Amino acid sequence: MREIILKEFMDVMSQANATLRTELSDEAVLLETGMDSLGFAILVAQLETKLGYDPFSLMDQPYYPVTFGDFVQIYERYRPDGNL
Amino acid sequence: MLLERMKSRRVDIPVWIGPDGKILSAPEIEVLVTALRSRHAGLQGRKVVLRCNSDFLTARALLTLDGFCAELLLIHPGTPESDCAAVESGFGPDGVLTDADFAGDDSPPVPHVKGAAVPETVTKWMIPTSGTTRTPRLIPHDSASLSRTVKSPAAGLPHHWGLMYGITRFAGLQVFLQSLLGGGVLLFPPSGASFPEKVRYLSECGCTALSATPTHWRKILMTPLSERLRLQQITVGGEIVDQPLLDLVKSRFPEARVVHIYASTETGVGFTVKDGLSGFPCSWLADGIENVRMKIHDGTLWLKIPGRTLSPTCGIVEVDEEGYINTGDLVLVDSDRVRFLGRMNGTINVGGNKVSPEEVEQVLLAHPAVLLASAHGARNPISGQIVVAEVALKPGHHTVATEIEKELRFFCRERLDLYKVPARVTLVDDLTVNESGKITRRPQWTG
Repeated sequence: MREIILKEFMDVMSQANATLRTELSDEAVLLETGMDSLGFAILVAQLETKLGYDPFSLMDQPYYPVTFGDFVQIYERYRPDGNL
Repeated sequence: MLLERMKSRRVDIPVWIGPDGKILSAPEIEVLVTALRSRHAGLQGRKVVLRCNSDFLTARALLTLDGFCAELLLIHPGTPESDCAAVESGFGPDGVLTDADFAGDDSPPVPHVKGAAVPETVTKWMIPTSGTTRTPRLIPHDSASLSRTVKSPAAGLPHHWGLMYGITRFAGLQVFLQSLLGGGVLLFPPSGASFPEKVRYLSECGCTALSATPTHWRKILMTPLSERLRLQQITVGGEIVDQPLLDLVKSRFPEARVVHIYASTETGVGFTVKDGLSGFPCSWLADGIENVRMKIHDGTLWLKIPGRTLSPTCGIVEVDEEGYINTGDLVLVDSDRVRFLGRMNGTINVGGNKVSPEEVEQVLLAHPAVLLASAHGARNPISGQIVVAEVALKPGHHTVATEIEKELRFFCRERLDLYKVPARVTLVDDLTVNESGKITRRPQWTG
């Protein structure tokens, strides 16, 4: 899962002609990575196409990830069974 | 009214050719309508709802009821029951007529008895808009206002008009009226038929004049049988008419006169553009055109149309103190030309940035493999909405789905700001087109 998200993340960065500012470790703060909110919107849309689900729309309470690790965790937590 | 006006036609030219090839002349129609009026004598001077599914039967119904009943509500075929009930209850009809009320033997069994002349009424026509997210609004018209821009019979051979729109749609009514009052013939393709079958029917019946939306035209041009059409008159309207489409149509039908009609159910016919260029001349903003005055306010086009007086409080459309109607179309002045950008209420909101679906579609359509395109907003947790698109490819361009989707997104990125680029492009076999010939975009989520 982490690999898939990493690949899409870098793809969106290149679409936006953005440069990665920090290493994408679990502790990396998303807002400091160089990706802007439009980039995140596109990333979520691309991941929905690739994975078949959007975890944010499956949440009861809106929760916004702070770090890259948080982001990956959300996708793992809301993964519909047997889907990957 | 229409019946009276029909009587001035030449009797040797057919008026209608039905889906099965049946030909009706003016005298035959007059006999038919007279019989239908005696059949429905109780509805004279009343309020009538017309719920026909057959365009061919609707045509005779319109001639029967116009000038006969006081008010006529046209229900578009395929309207959901709930919408029918809603508009009908507001209207308060005295009678509801369907196909069966106008079908039957075309030569009436009873001999025509000449009774007292039917006093002619100005029938008020109520036409529902094709609303997508709410109950349709009823737009009032009458046969005179609807035929305001009908051109008198042309010298030379009369046109054979093909009916590509549902006849109850505003554009369909224009074709119906133009052919009827302009001395031409109206061809009714079989309603359940596929697109290629309709084109075949039109070519076999000698269609010379055709009015359709840009989406229809793109499909027509991709249908091999369209090569047999010998068109002299081409009308385009209902969606944004872009330059590539005009150029394509002109190159495929070099003998045809190409006209862009700018009209809507609410405004009626606004104006026509005949210079072969998309948009319209800037000079019309100052000088007006065809007795229509126009202005741009808040980025949209407003029109003041003779004979179309709606009050600011009518609640149907936005009307200002001077009688200008808001068309709801976003326009942009580009040196000496005014260009259409898209519908005001179709705008997608991507994190506060406004995107018009039409702008995205125009870019997608510029790609050589794309036949039809539809863009809309998909819900997004970060930006509220994000642009997504569906695309149908031209025949012969079918390729690996993921490759072309990536290629199209890249194509868009080279031409549009990133927030306008579809985050997802889905290949489909065909795009849903409604009875008005327009692409139906999925309802917008607004956050």
